[in-house]
Amino acid sequence: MALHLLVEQPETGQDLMSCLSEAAASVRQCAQCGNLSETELCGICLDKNRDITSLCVVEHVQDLFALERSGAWKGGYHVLCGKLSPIHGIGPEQLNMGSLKNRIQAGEIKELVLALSNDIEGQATCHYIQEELVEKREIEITRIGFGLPSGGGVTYADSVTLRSALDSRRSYE
Amino acid sequence: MRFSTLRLQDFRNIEFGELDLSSERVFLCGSNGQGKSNLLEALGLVTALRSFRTQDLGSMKRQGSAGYRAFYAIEHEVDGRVNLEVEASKGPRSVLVDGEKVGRMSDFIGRFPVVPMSSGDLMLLRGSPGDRRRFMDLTLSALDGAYYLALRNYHKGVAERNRLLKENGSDAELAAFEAELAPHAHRLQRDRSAGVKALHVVLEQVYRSLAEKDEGPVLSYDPNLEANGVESYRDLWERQRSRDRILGATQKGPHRDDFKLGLCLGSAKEYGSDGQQRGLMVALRVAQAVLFQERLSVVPVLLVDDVLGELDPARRAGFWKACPDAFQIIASGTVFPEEAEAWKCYSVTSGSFITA
Repeated sequence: MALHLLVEQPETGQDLMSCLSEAAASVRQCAQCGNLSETELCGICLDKNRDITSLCVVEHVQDLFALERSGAWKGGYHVLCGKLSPIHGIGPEQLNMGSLKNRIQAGEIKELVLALSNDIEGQATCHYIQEELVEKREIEITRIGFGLPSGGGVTYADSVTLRSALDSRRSYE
Repeated sequence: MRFSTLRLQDFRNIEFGELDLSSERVFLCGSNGQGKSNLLEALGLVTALRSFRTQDLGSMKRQGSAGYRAFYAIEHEVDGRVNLEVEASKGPRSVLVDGEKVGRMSDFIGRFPVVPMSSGDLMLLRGSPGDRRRFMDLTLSALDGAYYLALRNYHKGVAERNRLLKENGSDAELAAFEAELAPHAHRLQRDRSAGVKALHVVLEQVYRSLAEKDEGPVLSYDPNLEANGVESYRDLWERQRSRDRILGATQKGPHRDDFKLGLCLGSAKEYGSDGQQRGLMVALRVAQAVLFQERLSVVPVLLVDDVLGELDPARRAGFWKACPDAFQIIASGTVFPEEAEAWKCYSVTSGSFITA
């Protein structure tokens, strides 16, 4: 890509550089959810049509964008900016955990959907949120399902995905 | 399954080698240090991309080369004729099955079962619990991909917990990782217990064929901690926290398990003669192969690295009696076997293989 811009489209390269430097200067984290925003609160947090009492907790902004592209989630988000991983020096203090705690303690959250990765660090992070942040509050906590991609067949799915799909099977109605 | 062709490039002392292995019995003959074991080591990679000789995977490339490549043509009961390629240079090793990249190790491990027998097997008796755990983990991982996943997650979780212990992590963080470790630990304990029992049943049958006098083999699971159910692991680790913090590592758990291996006359390590110990190791490997055959519905290949010559004539005859005819056997030695006409023989000199 770098060669293409340098050789084929040098003027596009200049535009790209000025756009990136403008974005770096103006874009910051939403003070509430951790999404990218040019204002203190992002468009999602300010959207009156969304149910901000239901939060989908994700690891990265990219995960939020993916969920937004799907159009499947009409609630709010909380971006942790990672997951617990002591080996990589990531504890609760390195994550956007404090603001999630504040949102929960404010008593306005009724549902948390934990859309964190399905590995030991992701699972431990879910456990930490449940035990340390939610505690005994009446908040419905769910974990997103892990299984076959939509339209995908069983034949070519790997064994880990098939196992997850079978583990999270549900009654057929 | 059977190997029909092997091509190797830059593997240990083998710059390039191509062998026709399409025979039930293949023998590699040569002096010590010529490359017989290297070739068997390359064949042994297909079970789990592990070497039966070393844990240092970087040492397998030829000195001065960027990496090694291995190509295997295999006749497989389930998949038919399969072309398998393993390449290791910079970055992670890549595995291609019929040109398709293998993404997950859990989908590969055990698909092409091969059982190596070498003098190094005596470490299962004389070595540390870690040697025995590696043997059982590889056996159980090959039989069940879910075991392999539980093992991988467990070790990852223990490493995360150990880092928290060393760096004075909070109890809340420790509890979060302990909660996720517990189901994996439970699974490992359950599968190890059942797997060892199943292997012991086969080992007894094999050993009866192999040994002139039946001393009776002993194989049992010796768990590091007795826990009943997932919750009890969490409780145990919680109680252990202060001690673990002082030592900076998780002291209790399946990562410290052991397996008792011996003969009824007592621990083979202490009481067995050299011949009895070697006989027990050969029986254990044949039992492993028979278990693979029973559970995977694939006949494994036996790689016999210069060990039959170490057995007395009675035990050697017992080996052939215990060994199902269907197994392809690729063996090595410093002299040609007695019934050389039954074998496809190669002479091995300085990493080159010539039909003998």
